[in-house]
Amino acid sequence: MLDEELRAGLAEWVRPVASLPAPDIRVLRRRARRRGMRRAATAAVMTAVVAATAIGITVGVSRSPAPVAVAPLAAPGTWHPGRWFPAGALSPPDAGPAVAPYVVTTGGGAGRAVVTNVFTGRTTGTISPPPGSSLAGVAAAGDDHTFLLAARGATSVGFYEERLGDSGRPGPLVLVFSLPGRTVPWFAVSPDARVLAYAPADQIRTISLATGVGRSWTAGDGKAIDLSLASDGTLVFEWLPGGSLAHAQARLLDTASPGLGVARVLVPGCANVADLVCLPLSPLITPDGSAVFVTYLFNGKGGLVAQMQEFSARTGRMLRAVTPAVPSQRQVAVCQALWSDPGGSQLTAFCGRAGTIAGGRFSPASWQLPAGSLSRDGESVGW
Amino acid sequence: MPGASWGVSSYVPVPTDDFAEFYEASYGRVVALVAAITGERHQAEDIAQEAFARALTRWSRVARYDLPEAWVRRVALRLSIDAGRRTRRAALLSLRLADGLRSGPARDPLAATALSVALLRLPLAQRQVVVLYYLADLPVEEIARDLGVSVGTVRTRLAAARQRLERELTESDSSGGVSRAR
Repeated sequence: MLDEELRAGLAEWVRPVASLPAPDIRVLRRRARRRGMRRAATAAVMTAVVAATAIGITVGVSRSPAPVAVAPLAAPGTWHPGRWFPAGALSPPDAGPAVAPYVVTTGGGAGRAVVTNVFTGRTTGTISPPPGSSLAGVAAAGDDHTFLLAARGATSVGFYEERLGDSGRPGPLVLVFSLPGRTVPWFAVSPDARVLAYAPADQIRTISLATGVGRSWTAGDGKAIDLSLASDGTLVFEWLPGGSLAHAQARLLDTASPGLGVARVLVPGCANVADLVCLPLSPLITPDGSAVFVTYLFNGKGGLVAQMQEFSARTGRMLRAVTPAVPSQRQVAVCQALWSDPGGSQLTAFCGRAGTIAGGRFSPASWQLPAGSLSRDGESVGW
Repeated sequence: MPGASWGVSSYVPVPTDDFAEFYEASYGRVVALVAAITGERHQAEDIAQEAFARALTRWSRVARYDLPEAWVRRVALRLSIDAGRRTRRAALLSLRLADGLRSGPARDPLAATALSVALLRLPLAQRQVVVLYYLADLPVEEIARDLGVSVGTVRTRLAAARQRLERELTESDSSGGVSRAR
């Protein structure tokens, strides 16, 4: 009896769909053409890589599913020579409790950025955008006083260096690099403020703000977001195949190496394992490049949980669980790393609100980050 | 109308050299099959079109198979597995703190019935077997080929799914849940 009921019930259920007329065959031809073009593009990149290898250019291909390979791409953009200034020295590792004193946030009114003293919660200054533009992204160097801000103008995006004074008062913005277009890419700056890494569309690029030398990598059939750059040139980013978060991975790319341009998978997702969820999100590398903090979403007892974890950047092994695993529905308890000291022993994070993490415990700051300050374009919190 | 009905009698794959003819004759069946597995109409259409597009690019080869539709069906099954994973994860992505990149296909679920609710609660592997067996009316041997598993595995999954469906449908009847499809 059940068999008949299943047959009849299923047929009845899908009848509205089964009676759909087939779309015009041109729809299929377009799909087939698009796939052909994607394959051709991939083949072209691989050909370029092989050709570059043959003529002695140091390139490489990834051994991971979607390659991130150095490619001889002509990157648009204008470097403004002679303007860049280096950030101050990093504080020595394990120098004791010394959370970076200032955080710069964009997304406020009139395209301005706000500087906040994290100990007092007071605003120490606002940074006005250059005329005709608005400040739409910020990344912090490692000296706790130097920041790189992105300003979106009518036809270009300018990257400006900003140095805070001892009291947290902002100095003048200095234009160091600009890109055509209005889209602010995800970007990061090295701890010494010498190198800007950014990810337009399906590429990853670096530019030395000191010399103007640039490099480009293709990001395969995917997109790099949430960039974080260490002193040694190690770039960590979240890689989204096909632009989708569903199969996110945390990847590392040695941008300083003249050799192989291989993006190593640091924390894989588990896209090919049925009924499992494991998404490494929002990676942050320590300024010395030794460790990476990741917000890891995975199946735990009783459902999906989130936990901040620390991984060795060298071996990819998990070093420790930074926070307890919490049910992911409790968004206020899910933490995202924002800043770490040079060696990763001190950490600030956003767990529904900003604060510090020590000994697995989160201590909220006495002040709030502006609403919506974690946004999709670039980064809007520099700490 | 091509693909106008679903059922045992209509499931007669027609060998043909003409892709357009094949496509129109079998499109509805493939969409329905995928929709029964995913529970969503738009996604099913997207997957079916992708499977047929792949057949189109290989048509000179696929047309020579005994049952080109079986090839398309297998491609669609694989795509629906991937899509299921994407959808499940997409639902979780709203948890992401740096928001704004939430992804996932637009949902257009089929109307719920007690049977469909119970079916969609089954693990994907069991759901596939149920749909291929009861809706596509395929023999277990062909289901095993489609899914790349043994005949014994298909039988085991079928038995487990049947048992679970029976239990859920009985409970649904007694609790006066969603009205059952007739």
